[in-house]
This record gives sequence, structure tokens and C-alpha cells, in this order.
Amino acid sequence: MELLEGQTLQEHLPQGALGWEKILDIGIQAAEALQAVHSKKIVHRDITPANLFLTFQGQIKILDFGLAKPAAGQQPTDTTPTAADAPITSTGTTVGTVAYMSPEQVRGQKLDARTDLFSFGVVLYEMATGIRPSRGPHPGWSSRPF
Amino acid sequence: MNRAPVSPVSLRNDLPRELERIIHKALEKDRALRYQHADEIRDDLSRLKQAGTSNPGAAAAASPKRPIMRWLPLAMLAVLILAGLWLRFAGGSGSKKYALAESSREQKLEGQEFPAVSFLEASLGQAAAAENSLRLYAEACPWMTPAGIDLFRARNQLISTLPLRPSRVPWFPEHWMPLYEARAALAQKGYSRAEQLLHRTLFLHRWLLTFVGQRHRSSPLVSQLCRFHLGQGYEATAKRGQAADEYRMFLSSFEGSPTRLPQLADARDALKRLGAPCSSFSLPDASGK
Repeated sequence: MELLEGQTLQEHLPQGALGWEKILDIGIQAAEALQAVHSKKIVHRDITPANLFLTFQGQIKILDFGLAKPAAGQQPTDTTPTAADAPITSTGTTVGTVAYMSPEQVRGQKLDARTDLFSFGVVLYEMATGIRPSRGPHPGWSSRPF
Repeated sequence: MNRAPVSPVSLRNDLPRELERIIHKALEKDRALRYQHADEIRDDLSRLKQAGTSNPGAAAAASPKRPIMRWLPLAMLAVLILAGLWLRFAGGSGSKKYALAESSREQKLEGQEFPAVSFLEASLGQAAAAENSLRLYAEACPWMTPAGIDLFRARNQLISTLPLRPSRVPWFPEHWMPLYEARAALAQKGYSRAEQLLHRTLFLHRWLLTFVGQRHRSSPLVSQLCRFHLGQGYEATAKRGQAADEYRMFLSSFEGSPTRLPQLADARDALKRLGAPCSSFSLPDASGK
């Protein structure tokens, strides 16, 4: 019985966009897990493909609560992900993490559970198309330092 | 970031329009227009899934499956297992278990996972009990905390032969460890040690909740599981009254909750064994079992 064997969605995505049935399977499970997190009054604040883990049994686990905070009493200065969050093998992850931030998170405003739902939307978009939604005039907008 | 994202359907025409609507609603820049709760997304996705399976036309329009992609992870796993086996036997060590533990310790990053590893080492004589505790823990948590990930990685390194990637550990909650130690003590019939550890955990968590506050509110499960294990310890040492009290306290904290924690059924059975009915509470029924 292997409990935590599989791969993160980030490792899965370079194989291309997923079939939409698979997107639904993953999306439904991840939304359930998010609901469980939010019902504990916790905002994860760093929902990315690197933090969604697919076991070989097809289950989804949400990883890394390093940035998670209780819903009340946010400190906007804490929202910037650090390089320590990046897996050793991948260099673009800090940029990638910013790309999943909601507009209010980028602006450093007070956050609630809805910020996770935005990030989850970016993950859904990426699963469907294989690319991240570009949201600005410059494709490199997300690498701007905040 | 003032532009709406490119429509997914324009990039890929086999996507259902409804999925695009769901994605766009999640990506609303104004959070008042966005989905407000995760279960709203879940419901929309589930409805789309049901519509897809009841409508074979839509299912046929789904993207063609690529069988090789499905087998690739399995093939990679097989290669890893073979490599692991080769490494293990090429080493020619007399005590395989010990060598494994040693090598896994060397691979750990600066000893940050040491508490979890030493716990698993202590339990290696009780592999079945350790396995069971980990399974219960995994089922009880809808998500994985960093501590949980470390435990499973350490376990994988010790018990299986799979070489794993080095991991990163943002922080390790030391205050979870006494519970695991207590479970190991219970499995080895060290009841007084287990009782001491469980009371210490309860005290520590009460303290954390009172004085440290918000950050640790996410794990009331630890205190609840302590009650359950205390019940087990008292039952094994024939302190029937105390055992029944602990089991009742454990069950009452799940009053009205839809959880299907396997320990709930165990506690209910234990109360029956002790001849102490749990009628004073409206307990979640066992229909989920």
C-alpha cells in the first residue's frame, strides 16, 4: 500500500492539456478538498499545480500549507512567495506562483477564501489549455517584482 | 491584467462550453462576481460531468485518449523499483533494514525530517501498527499538512525501496510528535508511557489553542484522537470507568458531524464492550460504514 505516491499536477501538465473528463475528475475532487480547507476558516493562498498532488489511485491531495493563514487577520506583506517554496528541480516556480495569484492578492489587499477560488480557476484553465491565462499587455508582467 | 483571458474554447474546440463558463466565473477579477464557495464550483463541475456521461454524443466528442500517457507513470515506477532493488542488493549489506535507515538519514536535508524518521525507525518492529496509524491519519485528513508529507516520505524511504526526490520542509510541527510516539507506545503495550505522552499532548494543544491561538486552530483532531487513544489505554489496563469517559468525550466532540473517521466506530464498539451505552449524545450514525 503506497499512500503518497503519484505526482503533482505540475509534473503532470507538461504532457499537454488534459482530456476534459479528467479535468472534471480532478476539479471536483480538488474543489471538495478546498471546501474542507475553507470550512476550517483557513485560506490556502498558494493553490498552484505544484501544490495539487495526484496519487496513482487518482485521488487529489492539497499540499503545502506554508502560506496558509486563518481567514481573519491577514498580513499582506506575507503574501509574497519565497524562493524556498520552489522545488529544487524547477526554476520558474516563483514566477509561476505569482501567475496563480488573484488580483486582490497581487495588490496585497485583505484576502478571503475567494482568492483560492481564483487560483483554482487558473489551474482549471491551465489543465484545459496547457497554458496559463495571460492577463496583461506584456507576457512577462507576472515576473515583475512586487 | 486588465484584459479578459483568451477563451479556452478558441484554443481547443473539443471543450464543453459549460467548462469555459465555469473557468471564466472562477477567474472573475471582481471577487463579488466570482464563485463565493468551493462547493459551488464542485456542484457545477459535477453537473457537467453527469451531463457528459448521460449524453454519449458529448462523451464521444471528448479528446482522444492517449494510452501511452496512462502507462508512462507505471513504466517509470517499474524502472524506479528495479533501480531501487539493484541498489539495495548491490550494496550487499548484512542488515538491510539498518542500511536503508542509514541511507535515508543521509539523504534527509539537514536532519529536518529526523523526528519523523526516528519515529518510523522506532516503529519498524511494529510495521503493521505504523502502517495502520498512517492510514488512519491519511483518511482523517482531507489534506496533507507538511508534517504528514514528511511522515509519508520517511515511511516510503524506510519501508519501500523506491528512491525518492529530496524534499523541502518549510516547518515541522514538533507538537504533533508525542501523539505518534504515544501510538507507538500503545502498540508496544507501554501503557503508562502512552498515557503520559497523551496527557502531555492534550496539555500542549490546550496551551497552543489558548495562547498561540489562530495558527494551530486547524488541528483539533490531535486532541480528539488523544481522547480515543487514552480510552484504548485505560481499557487495556482495566480502568473501565475512565476508559468509558474518554471514549464518550471523543464521540461527543463529533456530535452532529458527518465525518466517517474509522475511530468513531471503534469507540462505539468499545463502549458496547464496556457495557456503557452512549445514549446521551446524538451521534453520527454508522450508515457510512
